[in-house]
Amino acid sequence: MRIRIRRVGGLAGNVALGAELDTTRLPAGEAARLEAAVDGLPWGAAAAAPPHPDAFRYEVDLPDQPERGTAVLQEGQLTGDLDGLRTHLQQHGIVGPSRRP
Amino acid sequence: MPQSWGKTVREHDPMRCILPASLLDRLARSEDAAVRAAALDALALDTRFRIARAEAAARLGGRAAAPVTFARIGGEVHRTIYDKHHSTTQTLGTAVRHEGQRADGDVAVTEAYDGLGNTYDFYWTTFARDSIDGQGRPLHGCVHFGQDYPNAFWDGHAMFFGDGDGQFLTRTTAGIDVIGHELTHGVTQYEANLVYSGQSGALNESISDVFGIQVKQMALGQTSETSDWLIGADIVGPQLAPALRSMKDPGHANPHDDQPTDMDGYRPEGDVHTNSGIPNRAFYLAASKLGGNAWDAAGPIWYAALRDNRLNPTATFQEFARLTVANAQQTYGQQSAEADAVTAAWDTVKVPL
Repeated sequence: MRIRIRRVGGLAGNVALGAELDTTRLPAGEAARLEAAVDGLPWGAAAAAPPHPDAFRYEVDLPDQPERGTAVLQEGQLTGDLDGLRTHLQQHGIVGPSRRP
Repeated sequence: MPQSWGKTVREHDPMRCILPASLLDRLARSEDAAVRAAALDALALDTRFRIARAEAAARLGGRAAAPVTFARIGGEVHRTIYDKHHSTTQTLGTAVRHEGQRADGDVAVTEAYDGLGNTYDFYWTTFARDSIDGQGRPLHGCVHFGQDYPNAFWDGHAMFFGDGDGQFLTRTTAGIDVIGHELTHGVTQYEANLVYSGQSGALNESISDVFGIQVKQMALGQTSETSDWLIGADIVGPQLAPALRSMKDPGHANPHDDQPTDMDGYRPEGDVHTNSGIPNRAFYLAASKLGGNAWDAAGPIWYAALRDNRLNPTATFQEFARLTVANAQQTYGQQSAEADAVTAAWDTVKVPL
């Protein structure tokens, strides 16, 4: 499963940080947990209001399953099995404009 | 807390309430002169509080209500800096420096302490505003939030500073404008309480940049001419250098900056930090046209608009712009240079008045 994640918002909200993760490159157990967690995301749901100004939010989408739309997560939701996405983004993220490509 | 028909009700605590007005009214008719005098005094004080509350409520509309105090003079900041020890819980952490204590050698603590002071001093000396709420609210700054956390924010109660990841952002306490920006979110919370999405969200962001840059300009002794009008120049890492945003030249602060310069570039789905470039530039244009210190005229005009009863939480750029012009005209005159500069600024960024 290819997973695309973008970090938007924050104090530097006029730019974004994006990365893509391919779960086939992860150890099998880790990949299965991450894929299950991603399956359970609120796909297509309206983004919740930010908890405070300058909060980060994360936009997740699946390039091979565009019909699912985008899942928008607040910072506090990117925990547990999803935390690997944050780590991957921090290590491999590329800065770009805040507008969606 | 007792339960009643499935609803939680607050337990009555006689120590936490004052005598009801009806009881005071009866006591004021007592035959005992001392009781009568005490009750009349209490009624007079009660009336003052009720009027003050009503006035505040009428002025604030749906805004966050500030406590009403009478005895406070103001002008003295009350800061406490806490060390989060890299935790991401939004609690205060370990107190490491209280007001008046000497620096402890941790540069983040020192910068946060000084930046909170710079921001308090700006609001007090410029607008006689006593802290974020105008009522002397103590300022809490929490440093070393998270692990290499590339962000800083005001959560409604305290300010949190990340140390930065070294690439995106560096130590966020280093930005005086950033501290002014975040604490101004607190000021906005107590004033117009602008909804954080769409144009009102972009206005919320812009107002934080507008007053954040003035905090920096005042602290560094910069005029409208000598300021670089850059936001975040002291906290960006190599990927975002030279700054997060440019109020003078939106869209050109760094290679990835996509702020529009006027309404032709407005993006309906844009982030609040993106479209804020338009009102940011309007402020820069007005302040530059007037010259001198940004807080001499342009700052007070923007501040008056922020506090204007007519500014709704869902205000548009146009509604805010009209209030800046109205306040400039009211303060300086219909045909004044100040009113003309503000009108011309909004015209340049193509916000129709």
